[in-house]
Amino acid sequence: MQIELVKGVHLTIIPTTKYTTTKILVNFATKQTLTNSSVRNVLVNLLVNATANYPNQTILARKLATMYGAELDGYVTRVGTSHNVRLILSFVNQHLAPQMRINDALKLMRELIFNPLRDQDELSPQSWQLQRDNIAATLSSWEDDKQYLAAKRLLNLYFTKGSVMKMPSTGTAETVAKVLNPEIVRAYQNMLAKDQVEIIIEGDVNADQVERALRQWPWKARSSFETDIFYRQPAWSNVQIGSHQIDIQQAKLDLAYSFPVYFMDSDYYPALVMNGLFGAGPYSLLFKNVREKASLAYYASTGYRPFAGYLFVQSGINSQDRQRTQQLIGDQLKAIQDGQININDLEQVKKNLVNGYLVSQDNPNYLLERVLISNLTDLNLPANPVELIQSVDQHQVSDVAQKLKLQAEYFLDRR
Amino acid sequence: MEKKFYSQFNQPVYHDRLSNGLDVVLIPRRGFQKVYGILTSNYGSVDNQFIPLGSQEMVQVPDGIAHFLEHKLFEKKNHDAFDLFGELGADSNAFTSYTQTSYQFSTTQNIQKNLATLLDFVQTPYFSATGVAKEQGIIGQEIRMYNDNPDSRLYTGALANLYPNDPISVDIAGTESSIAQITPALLMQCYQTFYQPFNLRLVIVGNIDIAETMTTVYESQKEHAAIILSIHRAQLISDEQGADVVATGNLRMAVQRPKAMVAIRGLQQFTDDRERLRYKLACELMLEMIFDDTTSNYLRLYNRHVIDDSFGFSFEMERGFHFATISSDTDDPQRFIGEIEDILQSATDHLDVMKNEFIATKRGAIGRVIMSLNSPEAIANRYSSALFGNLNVFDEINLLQSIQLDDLYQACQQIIQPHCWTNFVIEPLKM
Repeated sequence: MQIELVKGVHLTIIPTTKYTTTKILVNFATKQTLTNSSVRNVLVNLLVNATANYPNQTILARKLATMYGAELDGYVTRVGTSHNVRLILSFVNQHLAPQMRINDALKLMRELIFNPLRDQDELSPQSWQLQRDNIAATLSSWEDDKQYLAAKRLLNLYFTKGSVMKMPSTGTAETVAKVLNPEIVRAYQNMLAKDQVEIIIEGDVNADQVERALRQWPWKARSSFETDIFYRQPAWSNVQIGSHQIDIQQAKLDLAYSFPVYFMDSDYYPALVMNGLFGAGPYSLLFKNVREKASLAYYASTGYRPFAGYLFVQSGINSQDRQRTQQLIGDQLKAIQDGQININDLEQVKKNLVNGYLVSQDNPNYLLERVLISNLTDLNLPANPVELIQSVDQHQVSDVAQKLKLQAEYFLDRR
Repeated sequence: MEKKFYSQFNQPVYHDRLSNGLDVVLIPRRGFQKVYGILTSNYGSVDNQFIPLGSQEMVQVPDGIAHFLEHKLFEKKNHDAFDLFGELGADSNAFTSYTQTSYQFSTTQNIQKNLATLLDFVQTPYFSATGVAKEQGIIGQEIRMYNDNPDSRLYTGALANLYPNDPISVDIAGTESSIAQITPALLMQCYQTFYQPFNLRLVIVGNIDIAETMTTVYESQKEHAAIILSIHRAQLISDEQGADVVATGNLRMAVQRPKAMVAIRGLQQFTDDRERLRYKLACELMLEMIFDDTTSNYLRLYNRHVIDDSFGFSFEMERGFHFATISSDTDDPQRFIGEIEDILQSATDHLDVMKNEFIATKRGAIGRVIMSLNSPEAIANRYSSALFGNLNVFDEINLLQSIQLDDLYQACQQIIQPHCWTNFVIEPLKM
């Protein structure tokens, strides 16, 4: 059930005794800009590392340990063009941990959000620079993962000039390193006053008790949020191509396609199935033909981004196999587009998607995410997509595949 | 069949050892739709010297063969086992570690058929020359991928220092040249020795009916009689006193910042499963008490830029060996190593300082295990190997409850022996 606490602040409660844990998620959403992601990334890190009453990491960590190892997570993430600051507190249910009280968890979450460590005009005055620098260092070491590095450079080619999508949801090492405290304070005030807030509580809880507690939090009404969060960009007239050489043993060939089929569009389920058939998972053509038959790669797979309207291919191969691999990837897609689809393959992919959906019903994080996405997009998600997946046929798959247009190629080569 | 009941969790656990030696553990989870099954051979990358079934002489097989076998077991004469699971609406996967090889499925549909498929494909080997040649290309890429991964190189570099003369020093997947020596005949030799039913353990967690599941298991084993009940492996650790540990090592590769790891090798051996698990839990709690984010050590190192959010530590135990690692990205690897070694050196003093936090630390550890019970995979995987006999995750919670501060002091004495430490550093390439 969804409750509007004040305008723009929504509470959803999912009572269940299926799990050993209860989760409290608070999500602050706004439009991403070229500058707000790095500041908000530093902000969320400060929020989950100290509060006025738990003024450093150690004291806060000790508090969590006394709550039976309650897990506190704070991070930024992007859904389409929305930028989200997310806090999640997970803790063991009271019947398994007698000293654990839901009210303690709610109180801690309130403290994290509304009572940060501050001194006059600064947030975390002693430690913010250190934490900011550590985040910047972490972001630069992400690039030590060459699969990540190749994907990042591919998307930088794919997104058009000035696109907010060129800026990662975390900011970059360079932009994070330049963040200053007054900006963090401003971002914090804006977030509290203006962001759309989704609070989702899932677990062994009494809904009335939770609602009463949440109504005591000092929320203020805010104007409504733009729920069209899908990202669109004009197509490139020629394929954007890039490459670099570094000291590595395995080369990476990555491709990006525009794919303007968005979450819950009429051909969304055909698009999911098409992605599964093309490259997502062990029943896909890329797995069967690029990996298993041609023995070219350990991984060669696709990813579909239904909030941003694109699809990408990632592969790790020998440098000299670039042309052959690219040809083979293109051949798999062409076969789908031309309707040369093996019915058994298609059925297997659909069964795999259905199994993935059914299995996810046992995962507490999946249900949280589903409610959150539905609230952010204001879209009704089907209660049971199994039939929608099963009814996709080869013509729909072939039709939707026609919408894929190659837009960018990136090759990370060995020196 | 034996049934244990854990009243705090309202949870039964069933165990049976079949007449052919197959070990079976069933953990039904109420309210879950999903079933997760994992079949594990007590056989991993370190088992590369042994007396093959039907032979008298010790052989040495190429490095990486256990992992290679895991890949190839899916392939059959006219089909791939992956596809069978796919048709039955299940996901399947597999992994190989130093001492175990595991095959998994998860599903909500056709539960018994999927279980029968798991047992059947693992117990029906088929190895062909063309299949082997093809896999050499795929695994060759897997090896290169890990070779480019600095965290993986940090870990394998430290382990190679800890056990320089033992098979643990070689990566689980082997090398491109070692896997080039693998043949169908060698795969079959390893298979026949290590995949005998008595060396296998099946764990199933989730939405299962016990009687129906056991019927499937019994049916599947009719064709698989026991062969022999012992395997002769070469001694895994050549120097049981650890005098061979190499103190330090480093590697340059394409990274932005240095990464450093301190690793300590434990020498204790246990014959009793419960004592072994108790020791493991005590070591883990001890490391938390001196290194985790509730300690003043952590805050001091963090505030002085010695560690950052990548800091982590772990304790790992497998058949015949165990070790702990402490690592971080850091601008000053030598300072990191010095600080960590200082803390280890005076670990008992740090335990004294943290005495009052013991109850909270233990409570936190118990809470994290309880949280993991939401995942059938977590329940099954923690005890999928034969390492802790018939103990399971619910026994772990009970044992954790019984651990006292004295156990941690004892763990300090047992595991922290400076001649068994090493450090390893990954440094950026010279510009």
